[in-house]
Amino acid sequence: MESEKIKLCVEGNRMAQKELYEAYKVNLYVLCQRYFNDLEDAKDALQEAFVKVFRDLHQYDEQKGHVSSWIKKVFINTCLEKLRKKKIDFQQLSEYDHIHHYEPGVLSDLNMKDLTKMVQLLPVGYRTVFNLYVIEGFNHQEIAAQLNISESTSKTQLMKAKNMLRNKLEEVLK
Amino acid sequence: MEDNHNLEKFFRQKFNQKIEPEDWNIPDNDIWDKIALEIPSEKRKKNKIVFLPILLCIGLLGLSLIFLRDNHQKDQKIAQLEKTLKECSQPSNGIQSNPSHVSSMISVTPSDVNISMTLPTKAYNITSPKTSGFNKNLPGTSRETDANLDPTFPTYDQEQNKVALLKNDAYTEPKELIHLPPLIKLTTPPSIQHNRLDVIHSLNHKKSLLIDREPTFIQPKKEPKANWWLGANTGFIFWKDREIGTFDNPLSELLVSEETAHSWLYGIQVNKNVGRHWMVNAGIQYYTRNQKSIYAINLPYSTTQEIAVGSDYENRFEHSLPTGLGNISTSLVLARSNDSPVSDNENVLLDFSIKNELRAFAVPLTFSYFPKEAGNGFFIQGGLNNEFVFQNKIIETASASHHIYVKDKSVKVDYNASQINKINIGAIAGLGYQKTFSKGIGIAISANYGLALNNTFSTANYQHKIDQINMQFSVMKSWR
Repeated sequence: MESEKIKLCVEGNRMAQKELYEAYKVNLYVLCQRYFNDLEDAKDALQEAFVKVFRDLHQYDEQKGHVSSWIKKVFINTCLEKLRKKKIDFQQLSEYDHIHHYEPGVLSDLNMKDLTKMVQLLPVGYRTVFNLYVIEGFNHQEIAAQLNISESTSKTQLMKAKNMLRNKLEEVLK
Repeated sequence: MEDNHNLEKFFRQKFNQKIEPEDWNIPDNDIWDKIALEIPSEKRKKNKIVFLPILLCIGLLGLSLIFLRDNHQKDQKIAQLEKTLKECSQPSNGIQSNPSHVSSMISVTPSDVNISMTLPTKAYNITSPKTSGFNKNLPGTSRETDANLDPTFPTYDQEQNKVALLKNDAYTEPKELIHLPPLIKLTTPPSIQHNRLDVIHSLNHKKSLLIDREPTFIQPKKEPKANWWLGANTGFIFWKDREIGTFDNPLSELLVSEETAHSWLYGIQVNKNVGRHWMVNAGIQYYTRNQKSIYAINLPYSTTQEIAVGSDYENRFEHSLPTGLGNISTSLVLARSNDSPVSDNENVLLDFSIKNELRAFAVPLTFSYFPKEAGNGFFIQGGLNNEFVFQNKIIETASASHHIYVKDKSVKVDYNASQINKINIGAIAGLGYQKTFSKGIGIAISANYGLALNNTFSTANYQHKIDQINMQFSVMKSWR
C-alpha cells in the first residue's frame, strides 16, 4: 500500500501527497528545528524540503530503502544547503547559550520540546555536527565533506557540543 | 567514554522515534497550502493533455479561415474577370460567336473563308476581316506584343491553313465543345477592335488567376451528385469531468475527486453528401469509460465507544452515501491493540476509492460543411452526440489509512446501478480534413469537442457532467 501511495504522489494525486505530508510533518518539522534555532528558518526549510520531496519522488528507489529514510535525506540536505547559503562558519567555536533554563527533574522526564530546545541553542557549528553525527549517523569524514571543514574540526565541535549538552543535562538532573 | 556513548544513544533514540504531535511541533496549516502551490498536481498534468487537442482545434480552425478567405478572394476576382469577358463579347460587325469562348480552333480557307469553331462556355469575340489570310499581324493591332501576352490571340498556321489560338492551358483545352454551323462566309477578316485591346491586356494580367481556376472556369458548374460514404473510424477520447457546486455529504471533505480515464473509441459511420458543400454524418461508436471516485473520511476514534475484541479494541462505523455511482454503504472497522495509546475522538483519516467501468454506445449525428466541396478538403462539423450506457459496474474498491492505530479497515459497497443515467445527451463540434483517393476511397481526420448537456449525477447542490475532446480517424468508401 505504501508503494501504491508513493505512486499516486508521483502521479500528482493531491490527496496522497497530503497524506504523505501529514504522516511525516511532525518528525520532519522537529528535524528542521534541530538545525535552525530560528522558527521561521525551520518553517522555510520544511516547506522547501517537502517541495523537493514531491518534485523528486519519482527518483526514489524502493530497493534502496524505506521512503522515510529517503525523505529524511532530502530534508537533511535541504537544511545543510540553507545553512551554507547563510554562509555559516562551521569552524567557529562558541560559548553555549545559557539563557534557557530547565526545571530540575529526571532524564526520562525530559520531553521532546526541551531536548529540541537544548540542541537548538547549541552554536550553529556544534549543532550541525552534533545533528549529523549523533542523530543522523554520518561519520566525521562525511561531515567534513558536507560542511567543508576538516575532520578534526568536526570531532572537536562534536566533543564541545556533547560537553555543553552534558552540562545542561546535569543542570537539569540536579 | 561510556558517558559519551550514553549521551549519544539517548539523543539518537529520542529523535529517531515517532514524535507525538504537540502544539510546538505541528507546522502551521498554511505551510501545506504553500507546498501545494509549488508542486504539480494531477489536474495540472491532465490539463496539459486536454489542451493539446484544443490547440489542434484552434490550429485547424485558423487554417480553415485562411482557406475560406483565400477562396472568397479568388471567387471575387473570377467574378470580376467573367464580367470583363462578357463586356468583351459585345456584338460587332462580322461573325459573332455564340456567347461562349472561342477556344481551340478556327479553320479558314483563303478563298472561301469557312470557320468551324469549337467553343468553351465563356464568351470571346472575334470579327472576320474582309480579306482572307491571317499569316501576318492583324490590322490595327500591335500583334507582336499582344500575341506574346494574350493567350487567346488567334494565330495562323500556314501548313494547316488554320487559325488557332495560342496554346494556353486555360483556353486550349475546352471541356465542352460547341460547334457552330460548319460553313460561314466571312465578310470581314477577324480582327480585334482597338477599343478592346485594353481588355486583352487586362486579361493577360489575370492569366495566373485563370490558370489557378481552370477547373471551375472551363467546366460548367454542376451540382454534385449525391454520394454516400461508408467507413470505419477509431479515435481517442479525452474525458473531462465538469463538477459544479459542492457535493453535499454528511461527512466533511468526503468526495475528493472524480476522475475519468481516457479511452479509445471504435465505430462505423455513414455519410451522405447533401448539396455541393454539405454532408450529413451518422454512425455508432463503442467505448468503455473508467471512472474513479475518491472519497476521504475523517472519523473520530472514540475510546468510550470502542468494543473489546480479544486483545484489540474496535470502533465500527457505517454510513450510506449517495454518490456518482449510486448509493454506497460503507462499513468501516477501525481496530487498535489495547496497549496503543489513542486519545478520545482522535481523528482518523481514511480514504477509499471506487473504480467503475462503463460501456456505452454513442450515436453521433452531425452536419459537415466543406468550403471546397463535400467530401474533399477541410471541414467543420457540429451536431448531437448521444450516449447510451448499457453497462456500468464497479471493478475495484480500495481503502487506506495512515493512522498508526488503525490496524484494520474495510469498505463494503452497496452499489445501486439504477441511479446512473442511461442516456447522456451531448453536443459536438469540430474541425477536420478529408481526402479522397482513387476508387472512391477516402480518409478523414477530425478533432471534436463534446459538451455534455445533462448530468451524469446530481444532487441539489452538485452536478457532475463529463465533457470530451476526441480525435478521430476514418477510412471510407464512397458510391453514388
